[in-house]
Amino acid sequence: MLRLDSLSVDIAARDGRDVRVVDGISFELGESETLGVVGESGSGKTMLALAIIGLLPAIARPSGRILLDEENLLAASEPRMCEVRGARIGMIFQEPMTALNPAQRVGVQIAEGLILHRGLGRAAAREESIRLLDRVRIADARRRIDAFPHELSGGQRQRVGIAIALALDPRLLIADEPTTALDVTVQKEILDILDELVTDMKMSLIFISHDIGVIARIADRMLVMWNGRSMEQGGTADVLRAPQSSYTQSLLAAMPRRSRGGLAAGIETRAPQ
Amino acid sequence: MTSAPLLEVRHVTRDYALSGAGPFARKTFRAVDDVSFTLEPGSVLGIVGESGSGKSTLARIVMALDAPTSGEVLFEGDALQTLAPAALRRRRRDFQMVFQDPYGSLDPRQSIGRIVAEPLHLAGTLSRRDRAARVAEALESVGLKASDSARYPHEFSGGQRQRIAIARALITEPKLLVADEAVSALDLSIQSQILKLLMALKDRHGLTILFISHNLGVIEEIADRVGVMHAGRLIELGPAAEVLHRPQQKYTRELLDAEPTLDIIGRKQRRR
Amino acid sequence: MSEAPMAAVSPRHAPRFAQWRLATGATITTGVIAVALLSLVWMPQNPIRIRILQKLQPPLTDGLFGTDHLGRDVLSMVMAGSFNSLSISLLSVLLGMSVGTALGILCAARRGAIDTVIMRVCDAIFALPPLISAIMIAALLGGGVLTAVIAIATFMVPVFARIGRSTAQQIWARDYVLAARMAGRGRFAISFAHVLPNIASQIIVQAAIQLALAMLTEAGLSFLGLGVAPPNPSWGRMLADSQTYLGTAPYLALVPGLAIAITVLGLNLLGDGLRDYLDPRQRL
Repeated sequence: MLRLDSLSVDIAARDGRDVRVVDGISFELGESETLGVVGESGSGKTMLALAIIGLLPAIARPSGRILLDEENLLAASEPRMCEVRGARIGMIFQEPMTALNPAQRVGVQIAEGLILHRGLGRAAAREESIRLLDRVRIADARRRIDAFPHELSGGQRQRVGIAIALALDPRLLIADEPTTALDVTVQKEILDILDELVTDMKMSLIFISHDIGVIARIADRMLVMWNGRSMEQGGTADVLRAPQSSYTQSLLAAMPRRSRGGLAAGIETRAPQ
Repeated sequence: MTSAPLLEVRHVTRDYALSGAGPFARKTFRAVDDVSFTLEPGSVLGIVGESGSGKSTLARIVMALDAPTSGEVLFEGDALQTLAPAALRRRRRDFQMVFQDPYGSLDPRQSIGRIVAEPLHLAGTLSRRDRAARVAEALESVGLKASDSARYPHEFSGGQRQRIAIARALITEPKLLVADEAVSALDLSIQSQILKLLMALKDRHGLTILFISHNLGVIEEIADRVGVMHAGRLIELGPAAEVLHRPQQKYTRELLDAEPTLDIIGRKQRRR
Repeated sequence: MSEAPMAAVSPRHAPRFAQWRLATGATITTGVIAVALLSLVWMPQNPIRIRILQKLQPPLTDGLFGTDHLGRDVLSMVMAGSFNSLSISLLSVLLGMSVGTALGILCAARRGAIDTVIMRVCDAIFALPPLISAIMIAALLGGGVLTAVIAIATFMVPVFARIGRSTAQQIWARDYVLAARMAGRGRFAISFAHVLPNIASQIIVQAAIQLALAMLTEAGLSFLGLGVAPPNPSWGRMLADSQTYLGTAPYLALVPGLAIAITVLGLNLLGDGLRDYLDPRQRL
């Protein structure tokens, strides 16, 4: 469904030189599959997400190919990308407030995409919005739909963010650190919701996080990034139980014992050569 | 070696007045609710809580940056709330704090030397040379170079800034260090480095540490005793092994279950 | 933990436009300052010298900009006027900035009753239209340079008090101020060592923007005869004097009018450009 072919992103720095923030990333993602992207800050994982959805800043230049159902997104025109965004690829962010308009009721924000892209009438869009809020397990959806973002808790806001991303029934959902700012108990629920959605809606999910524990919980396959490069990829269980790359090993060694659970560790933490 | 506790928190409660509440709504918000505990010298107490649990408010009250609505905080027997300002200032030498955000805790307009030297105001007047020597010593003890004192915060990474913050906190050789989510904003590999640094410094200086975090894994690495905060109350307190492996309270169990570990790999729907 | 926040869609043209704006503003302002300073040492003619026989000579026939109804050289008057206008504006902004910022910082540090009282007084001053209040004050205190400065500075104070207070409050919420409190430093020490350096750039930007307003007000005051006392030239008064001759010698109005317009434009561009340049979010 999604295939990345040697994707690289170069940023033009102020002094004229280029900085390569994503370096030759390739992977394939099938329907109803989750890919977890793990990396520390500066690893390029957010740039990767922005490249796929076509929201890179003006100073960033991508190269390589991003094939969504055999269509190369990097070669697509901006109007075509506008069609793709929302309808075929949805995105949720770490801070849900970046996606939510504080001055609009949440129901209106969910309905916006439905009305614009799917041509639904106001009443039909409202019903659909309520259904979506139910899907993301917001209690009392019929009342909550008229709430403003600041009236909701962090976890509820993130769920609204997911509802907005789901409204157009995208094939691919990209989640960039969606649970990092949330409490651990709320995080658990959000992960459960995403897990269900992937299975029930036959959606694919790219889940970006620095938290290996979360990736272990949600991802079928994982990609470990460092400095823009792919250090290791494969099935989650394979990578975590038998890591090939020394960087992955050092990440695992750096985890607190409790989070590492029963996995073997004992390798010194060091940066890759 | 005295057997008296270093820090005693007795029935501390902190209420905040809610502005703009309607005539029938609650007028106050209770951020900390009747919290009591003691801290023995040389030990590490980990306080675990989610957002809104009151743990940061508690930290500020312990640091005498905020006054409790009722209750008291005794540091080496002195009730911090009733001390005269000058006496409190003298006491501040003995307890310091490291904050969560390495990017907000250092003044971007000041050099590292000046930042780290700031608490020395509490140590009485020192000559320029003495001050510089203490700064150099502090920087080196956290793994940085004495020459770094001329540089500015933006030249350093998150992990290095946190080291600078630790150097600043320890320059007056305090007895108590409060770490409020001190490693939460750092990358994993840096996190473990900073934790090791804290443990080493604790051993070297005989520090007592109050470590606040939402991350149970981190708490387990570092704490002798663990307290769990929820909605302002300290619902559980005991040795780390007890609280983290044989919790008494339902909420503690929920917390422990919710934190993802590598014991469970893969989506529920497709677990192997 | 995520990478440094970047605009998902960055304004493609914004950086270049901002640079152009800042450069133009800086150039114009520097030019005007240069002319003003030059006027202290050299002018083509003595600007207050009356030569009735050469009155109302069009530009380029007698001097670059001609002569006015009393035969005074317009170019020299413009140059001298630039110095007078700029210095009054600068002095009043400096005065307003110092007093206003100090009050704002005090409000943020003390809060409570002092904060409320000072802010309400500022609101009262704000409620009056600046030009009118400046005129009232100048009229009450009599004309002249000093009263013009005081009049203009008076309505600058609330502006700087407000912005000083809001920026200072943001700094007070920072962790490094908390660290300073833990280091036992008092409110005054913190305001001086931490708050002031961190709000300085925003205050300076505001000063550049207010300078434009001050110039305009000064021109208004001297137009009404309340500013610089005659025979010292000032652009505002040149405009006033030119009214009678608008039909026959329009250049007498055009030259000072353009001088005011260009200078104010330059100051506005400089202020806006500085603000965008110093805004961390614009830096990619």
